[in-house]
Amino acid sequence: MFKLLGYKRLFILLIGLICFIALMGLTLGRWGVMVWPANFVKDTVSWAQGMLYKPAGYVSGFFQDLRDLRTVYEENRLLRQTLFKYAKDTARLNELEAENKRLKEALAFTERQKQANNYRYHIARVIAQSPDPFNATIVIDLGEKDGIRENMAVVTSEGLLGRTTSVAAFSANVQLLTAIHDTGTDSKAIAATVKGREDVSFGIIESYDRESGLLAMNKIPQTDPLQVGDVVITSNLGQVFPPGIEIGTVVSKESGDFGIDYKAMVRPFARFHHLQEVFVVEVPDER
Amino acid sequence: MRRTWITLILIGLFLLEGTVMPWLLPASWQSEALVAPRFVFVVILYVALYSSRPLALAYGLIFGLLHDFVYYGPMIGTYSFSMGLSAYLVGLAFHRGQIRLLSSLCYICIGNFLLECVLFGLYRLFELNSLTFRWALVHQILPGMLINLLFALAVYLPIRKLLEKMDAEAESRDESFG
Repeated sequence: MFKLLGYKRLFILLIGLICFIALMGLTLGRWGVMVWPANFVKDTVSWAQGMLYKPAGYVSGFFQDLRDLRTVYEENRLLRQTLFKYAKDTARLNELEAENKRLKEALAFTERQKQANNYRYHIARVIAQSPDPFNATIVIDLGEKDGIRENMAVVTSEGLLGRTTSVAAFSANVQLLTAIHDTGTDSKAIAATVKGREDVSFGIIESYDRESGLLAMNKIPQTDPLQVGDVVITSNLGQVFPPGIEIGTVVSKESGDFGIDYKAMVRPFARFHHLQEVFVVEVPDER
Repeated sequence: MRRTWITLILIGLFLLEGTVMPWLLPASWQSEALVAPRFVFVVILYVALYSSRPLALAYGLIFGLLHDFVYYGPMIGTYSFSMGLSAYLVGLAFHRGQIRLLSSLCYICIGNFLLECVLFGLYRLFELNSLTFRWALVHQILPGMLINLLFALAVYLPIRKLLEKMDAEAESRDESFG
């Protein structure tokens, strides 16, 4: 090795190794707003990527549509049923909303409390997807100038997708749920509960198991009535994700690591590949 | 002049990697198996094999850094380091006068494997992945290497011609100066 490299080269190589390890250690899990040269490079590249990603998606979508032509009839029937249900729900929702408003007035809610559940959904186009399997990141076309900040929840029409991490002026990176793990400092666990039993069930989604494609929900109390098939949503106890966003369904429940609590595996609703449009959730009350 | 061409090709491939490739690859290759297209790196390896080693090192560092900035995941510097190092080592070990198609494909395989191993090691070092190496090998590294090998085969002739012309130009320039 010494003969092949020479002392001088080996020295430079080792210095390089030390510098890079230091750089990686220093930037690990600290995003914030990037320094301007990186910011500028990223925005420029993102702009070019945006021109390519969308047409590629359309072309690919066209062939997908041709393949799906056979299932269209069945799908149409299902959609009609859903639409009917939706109309029914909307009527009920209007009624409940009016009632909710009346009760809030009666209980003298402050303006801030009234606005707390009034999320704004920013629609964002996906402009690139990281080709690195260890780095589950997508780039979207909204940035700091559009009001995007770090740690905002990102959803698709199916369910929770991830959160924004590094934000440049006109683009931002989204860390997908598949990057959640419990060893490092770069991901945030999600406080979760069960839809319909928000005050009873609680657990923390701490890791994603890549081999099975499921999220692990830990620290579920023994008294919890959580069952297989329950819909898991974000809880209002978490500080990062706004409450009420659907995450997935419970597929199995077993004893936890130490036998004093339960652990459930959750199949996420959202799809993590072939993404076109996503929504960034802005909570009006900045905590 | 030719160097500009190589740079432009690399930029083009970099853009394709994150935008068009996710749509071309089937969905199951992005969920059960995770196939990583590393076309930029394949071309950099060709530069290391057929042209100059320092140039390959510089390309590896710059395009790695670009990758780090654009897909800012857990940290900055992983790609810059691993691409620069792997390209340099491949150039150091295998750069010879005449390399035939089969052996060059073999070296590209080795280079790719080296890159994946360095990346796996780095992410393991910072406790960002908990996969076993065996699972990663079967589901990520080997399928990815296959795709990259196909790409390497497809671009072998044009890239080699371009690089040879580039070297010839550089030599004639040196002679006229010297």
